[in-house]
Amino acid sequence: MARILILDDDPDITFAVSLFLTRQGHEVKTAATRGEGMRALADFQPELLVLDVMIEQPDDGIAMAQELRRNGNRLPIIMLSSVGRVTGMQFDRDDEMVPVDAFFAKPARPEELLAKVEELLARKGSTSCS
Amino acid sequence: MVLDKRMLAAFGSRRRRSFAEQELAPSLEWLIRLRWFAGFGVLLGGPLAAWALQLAIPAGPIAVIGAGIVGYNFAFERALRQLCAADPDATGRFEAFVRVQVILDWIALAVLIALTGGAESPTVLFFLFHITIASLLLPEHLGFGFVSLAPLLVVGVALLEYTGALPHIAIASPPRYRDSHFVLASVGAFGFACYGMAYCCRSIARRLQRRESELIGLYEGVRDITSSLELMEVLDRIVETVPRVLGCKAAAIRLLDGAGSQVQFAASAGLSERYCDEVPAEYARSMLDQDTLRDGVVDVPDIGKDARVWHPELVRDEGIASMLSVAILGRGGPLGVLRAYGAPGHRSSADDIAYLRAVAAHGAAAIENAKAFQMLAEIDRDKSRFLRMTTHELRAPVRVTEGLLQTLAAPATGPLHADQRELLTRAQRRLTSLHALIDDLLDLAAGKADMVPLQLAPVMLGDQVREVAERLRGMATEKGLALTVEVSRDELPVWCDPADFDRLVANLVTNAIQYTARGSVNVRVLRHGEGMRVQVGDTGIGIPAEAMPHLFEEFYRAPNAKATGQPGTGLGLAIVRTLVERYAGHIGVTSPEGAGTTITVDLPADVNRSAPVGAC
Repeated sequence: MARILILDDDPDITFAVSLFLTRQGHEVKTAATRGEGMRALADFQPELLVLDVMIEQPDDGIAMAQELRRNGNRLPIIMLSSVGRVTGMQFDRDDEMVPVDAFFAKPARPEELLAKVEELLARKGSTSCS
Repeated sequence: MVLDKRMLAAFGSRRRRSFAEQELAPSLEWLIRLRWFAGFGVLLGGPLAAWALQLAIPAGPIAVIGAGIVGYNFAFERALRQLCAADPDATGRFEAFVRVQVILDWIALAVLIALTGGAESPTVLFFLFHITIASLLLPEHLGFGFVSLAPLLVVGVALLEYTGALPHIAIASPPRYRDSHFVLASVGAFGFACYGMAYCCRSIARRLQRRESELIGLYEGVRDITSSLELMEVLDRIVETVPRVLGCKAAAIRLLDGAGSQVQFAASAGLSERYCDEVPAEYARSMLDQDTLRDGVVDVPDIGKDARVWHPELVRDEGIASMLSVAILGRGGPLGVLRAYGAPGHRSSADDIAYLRAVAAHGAAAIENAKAFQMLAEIDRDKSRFLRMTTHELRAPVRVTEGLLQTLAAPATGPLHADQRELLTRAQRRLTSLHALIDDLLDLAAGKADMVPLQLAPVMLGDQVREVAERLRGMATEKGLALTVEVSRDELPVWCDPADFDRLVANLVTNAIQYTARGSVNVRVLRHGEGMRVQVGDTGIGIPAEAMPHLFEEFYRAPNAKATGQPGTGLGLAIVRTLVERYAGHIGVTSPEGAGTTITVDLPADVNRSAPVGAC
């Protein structure tokens, strides 16, 4: 069981995602802004971050992921986005531009998202053990 | 500066005063300034010349004449100031003023001539100054009348001296005032000089006036032509301008069709319908049009002698004797031909050609702009139609999904645990806002789609507003807000589609209720000129200054409106603006900081009479 932070400004998304993650026994905290998210990262010390591309600004999520990586934070990040469909912009996992571990287009199917969460947590666990 | 202002003022006025008319007041100032020199010249120069040249002329009386000129000039200067202060545009009074001045000057000069040797007097030449002034300042018929007066005055003085009725003051020795040959020759030469001078002045003035009228015509024409984005209006304005400025019989624009095979009459002024119908339009056979598009301009001074006019009888029957054609060239190639038609006796000058080419050049730009505008309007209409259709299609599945979720939430379907119920409630809430968005999009598209015929009817806005207020009263009461309606007694019926007005007011009132936490929402319906004003005021959160410029943009929501957490699509005010524009109305917003918002909509009572709107 792990501590997971969900950062999304849409309360319905954070509610739904935290609902099934909590049911799986994870400890979940939600945040709606980048500032709130950064504070939660420090206080809550999550082991995984579910991050939306658009928070307050259209690319806030990406900027935040880049900042984390620049600061040497290797925390697994799952990025959620509905941007591609609306604006025609294409986002995908990209180590340089979008330095995240997994990328899901909204709505993310709960079972797929869960599987990815478990996979990343397991990978992280094995990395830290070795 | 004075001149520029006057010219501009004249452009704006209904009856345009000619350049010469506008020049009158400044010219009179100039005349008075000149007269100071003349007056003091006679006052001091006369006695001085008599003394220096030892002339036997009466210095005293000459000085009196000079003093007289100075005296009446002083009076004129004051009178002019008063005239200008009273009404600088009263041209008639200025003209009378000029006449009085010229008459007095000429009498003074005639007396001066009599005192300085009559027909022998060198001061006779001073008349030439006066003739120049009279020719330029007075209307043509009066100018020449005054010119005739000058030799008559001189002849009169000579005759009186010749007959001994007037004592001769000799300046030449021996005196020659009785030498009939000398008197006739000098008076005759003087008369010729007078008329010659007047003729030259007049010709120059006339040419300048013509040039001025052309320039003003061009300026006004271009202004008219470019002030419209309706293609037919642009074309009509061009063809109406040309005969007015060139003084020709008619003008027409023939535009090439897309394939370049036909040159059809697109607009004409001064031509009969029969002529426009019967003139063949095949471009391949019209040498005149082909030559015009190749060379830019074709002048046919006599249609009978030009083989390119291949339907001369038709042209002659129309009373046309000459044609001047110029090409209308757009950025992408030739658009058509602009043609001026002259009646018998009409001749085109180089100036006419230059003028017509200038009009065609400006016309080409205006035509292309109008065409582009027309295309954009069509695209916009297509877009609105598409929006309406797709939005309409979206509505059905949303409704069905709402129904499905309601069924899921119903106790009859079976128990749900708390988290499931919460998920369901959230899903239903999101669907409701999607539903609202679809409705707003449909309203917006309906407002923009002007292909839907309006159900225009005389609507008493007060009744409509009361109806809307009753419908929304529940919403206001729920929030503890007072919703009031005031309707003035002198209400005018407004021609509009009642459904449109309902939508407009409902949007404004809903907004006001939504963004007002406490206080009231007040709707006023009052008379405003020839139309009605609807004012929706609230004591709500107001609109921050930075949001004002974006307020009517689609999907825009002011930051403080978003922060309230109230659901909203950001389309409400865009819908209102579209509806107001549809009825050629006006919308204004005031929101003094912390004092709520007032939105004012002015609608003309009859949109058809107030402004042309495509929708109607």
